[in-house]
Amino acid sequence: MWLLLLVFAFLVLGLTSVAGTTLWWMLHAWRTPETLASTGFAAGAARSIGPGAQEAEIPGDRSTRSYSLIVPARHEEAVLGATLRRLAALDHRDVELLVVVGDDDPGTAAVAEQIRSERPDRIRVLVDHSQPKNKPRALNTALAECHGDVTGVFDAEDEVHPALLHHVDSCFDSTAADVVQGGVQLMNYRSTWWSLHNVLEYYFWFRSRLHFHADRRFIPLGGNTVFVRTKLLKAAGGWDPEVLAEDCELGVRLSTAGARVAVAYEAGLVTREETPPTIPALVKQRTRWNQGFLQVLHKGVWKRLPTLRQRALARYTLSMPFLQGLTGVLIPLSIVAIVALRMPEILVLLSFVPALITLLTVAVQAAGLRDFCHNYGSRARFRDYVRLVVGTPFYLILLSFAALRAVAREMFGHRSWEKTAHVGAHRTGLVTATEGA
Amino acid sequence: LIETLEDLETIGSLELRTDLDLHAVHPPSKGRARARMRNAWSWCFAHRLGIAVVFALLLVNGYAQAHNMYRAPQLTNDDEGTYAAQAFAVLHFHALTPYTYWYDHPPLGWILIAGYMFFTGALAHTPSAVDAGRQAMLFFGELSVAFLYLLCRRLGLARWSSSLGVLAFSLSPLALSYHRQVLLDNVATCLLILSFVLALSPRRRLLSQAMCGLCFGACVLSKETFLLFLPAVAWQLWRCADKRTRAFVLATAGSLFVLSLSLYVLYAALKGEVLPGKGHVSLVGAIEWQLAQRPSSGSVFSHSTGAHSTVTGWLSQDPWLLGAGAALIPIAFTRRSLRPVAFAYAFTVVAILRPGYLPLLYVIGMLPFAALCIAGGVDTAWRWRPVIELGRLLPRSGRWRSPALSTARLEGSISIRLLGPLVAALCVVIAITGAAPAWAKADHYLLSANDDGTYLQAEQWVEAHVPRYDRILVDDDAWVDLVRAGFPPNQVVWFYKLGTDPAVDRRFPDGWRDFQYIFAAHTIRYIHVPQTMWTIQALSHSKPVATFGTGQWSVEIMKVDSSRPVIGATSQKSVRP
Repeated sequence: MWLLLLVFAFLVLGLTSVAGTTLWWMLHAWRTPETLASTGFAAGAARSIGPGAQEAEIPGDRSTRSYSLIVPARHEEAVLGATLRRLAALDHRDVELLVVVGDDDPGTAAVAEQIRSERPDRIRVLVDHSQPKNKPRALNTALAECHGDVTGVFDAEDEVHPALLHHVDSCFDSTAADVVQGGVQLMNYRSTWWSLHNVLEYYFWFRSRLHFHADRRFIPLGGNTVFVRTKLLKAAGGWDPEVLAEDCELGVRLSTAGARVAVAYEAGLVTREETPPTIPALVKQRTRWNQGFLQVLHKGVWKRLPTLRQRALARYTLSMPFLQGLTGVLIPLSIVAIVALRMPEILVLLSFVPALITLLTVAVQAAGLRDFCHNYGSRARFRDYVRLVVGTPFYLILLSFAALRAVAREMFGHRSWEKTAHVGAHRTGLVTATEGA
Repeated sequence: LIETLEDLETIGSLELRTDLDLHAVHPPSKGRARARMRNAWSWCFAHRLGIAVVFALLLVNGYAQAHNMYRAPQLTNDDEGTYAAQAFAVLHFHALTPYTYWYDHPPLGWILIAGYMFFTGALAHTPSAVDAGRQAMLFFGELSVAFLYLLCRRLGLARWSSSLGVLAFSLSPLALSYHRQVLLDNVATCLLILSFVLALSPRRRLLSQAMCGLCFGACVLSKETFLLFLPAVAWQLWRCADKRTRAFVLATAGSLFVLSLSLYVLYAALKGEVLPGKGHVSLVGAIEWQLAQRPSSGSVFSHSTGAHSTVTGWLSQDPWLLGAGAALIPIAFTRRSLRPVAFAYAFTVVAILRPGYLPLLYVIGMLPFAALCIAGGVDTAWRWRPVIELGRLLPRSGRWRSPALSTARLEGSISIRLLGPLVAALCVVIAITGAAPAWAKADHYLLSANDDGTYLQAEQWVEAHVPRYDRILVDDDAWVDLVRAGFPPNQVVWFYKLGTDPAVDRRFPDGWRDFQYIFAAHTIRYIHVPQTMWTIQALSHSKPVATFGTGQWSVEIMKVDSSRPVIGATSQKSVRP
């Protein structure tokens, strides 16, 4: 009986700390108004975003840096054209776009060639012959050809702000960083019930949590809108082709090497994306990331981080998929335990604390939804809040399922790349609304 | 060693490398602990004056509250003993109360008192359990003083006016006599002031402002009547939250408040005691009783009502703190930063006027806000620098406008700069000449009287003369002391529970006839409500064997007649009631 109680107390404590730290790091950017102000691009630049900004006070084209932007594309005929046109129109003196298409993907290659013929000065199309095909291999194929001082990555469906590079430029200047991670934001929060949760996850991750990781100098980078000094990236050997979350792996490797990462999120400047179109796609995408995190955890590069605190944070962050899966199993178990063990009231009350923190998290997400809509020129309706609250348990189940699936796949050695399809849902509705504003 | 990125060697072919070391490029900041120490030290140095003032205020309040606190004020009813006994139950029986907990008040207040007793071992060092509780009150009182000073400063008041307010809060005889008593309201007041302090975080920290919600939740869980301050706390929080982070502040603080209260409901739910039902107490039933079934105290303005005598009772103890606070509300309201606290006081004053039950202890929550209004009002008056522009007083046009009047000499303004300080000084002078003598007299009484000595003597007599197997009806002030003196906890019975708590009645099927002694202090002799029928009958069948003191506060030990001999009573020794 005592042993059971002890195990129970340990579980409750564990669940509480997982829920508590997740919540606290979610709120990192909002700790004080000053912190919030410091999470954007350089303070002066922040004011220049918005309608008519180009004419106003964007730092002039005096950049001394050149940029190579890699766009890996695989079966992206539907969205690639618009993305490339936008990227080719980026307002910067010296940009080259490297579009990587697979040798088995003539459709996408045709689209890329067509856009190249429109802007031959800026776009190059590279064919990736590597096998099996995945994103890090495509990126490495392009990296060998990169000539810019800074290499950036964009995905084929990204909506990029025309003035982004200026801000990235000034961020490199003002922070002396080796890596700049810009904001990425899913936009279509009204498409489905889960897209709302997915959008908010991105919002809290890029708006807040990544800043925390940058402060602690341990950061799993995002998959796009990430800019690395080419020299460093080449010296580090590019991306690890064996890992399913190549972005996270690069971030961990560069953090371990001691690189300085600056994170900047500015609502007007984020790269806009869309949520996966179906629940299976969402689960697959999440499984891939989770599995990637576990792979990075096993690879153990993070063990060379200089301080114990950083190593603890790394171990904790990278095992999050595992913990998340565990949570999914443990919560039903703890309910059974509460009913079956007939424990004293005080212990039962304590066991509710993780659940209360989860409720608190939902309230914070509601505030985040309001903030998100406010920042993107929209207004959350009552319906959206209801959807948020009602959908939370189901979304948590989805996440737990994906986490368990990742753990299982990793255990059984299934490491194939499950690619996410894109339909372009983020290019309607809200986006046009804000662009018009 | 790589010192700049330029030192990186360019490799022709990509090869994954995990041994890069750029730490020389971005050296980690060193000596963080030492820097923190230095910061703490320089913070203390920068605030040395404030720290000295707080220290002095703590000394003054500590002396006023602690000196003679075991002897005065009088144990008027057994509330003090009740909370001391409940704290004792938390410590020794791991239960919320010695008897069935019936949701009369949420339990956090006496849990905190129990926490104090646990960490200091106060029960072992004091003559009686109530005195251990009073020691805990001293602790919470000192905290309240420090928090109140901090709150004044965070509201932008000067050191001298903040000190003035705090001194009024700790030296008013009304405040002093209540602050000494073991009351949940004192704990709640401390937490309430802290919630305001947390809301007024100078750097508008989310954590601090979120904790405000939790702290106010704890405040309401200590004494439910403090829910009355919810609008004021919410206003203060709204005002202090930055526009950019307000949504998150309100979401976290609001949900922490609601969730902390929900723990209480959850506790009731786990025991199956949320809704009223046959054979058990319930949360909803208790709330219904508190809100609807308590007799109305009537209007404050008509004589012979309970509310009237309650309010006049407060004012007879000290009219100055409450009165001056109320008089200065309008001045405090002229300053934006003071509005929420001035509103809190105004709101509680107005709430007295509503019909319904007016608890005697209601005033305790008002006291810090009265003090804040005094400090804020005087400070605002002191800073008032009125300037009258003469040009505005004269007609600008029309035929009465004389050309001579529009000269530059009269277009200027008359400064009556000293008016503000004069008003403030006047307030202080009136307070000193009016309040100080009355306060000195009343405080002197509290610092020197021995009101509770007879009670303690009576307890000692019982401990010396009554066999441990006899059953005694007591009031709550004596309960813990007799239990600690060796009487089995189920044989010393709080008189109020006989006839009201089924668990007690089951053990004493013959009612008053099961008892041998009555510890008849003021509470037992003067409370005559239908619920205490057994006690009244026991009193009428008993005669005093020892009397301590004279008059209404005397204590009589009564021996009950016609009681049957007790068989096997000692065998129940270890059973808790």
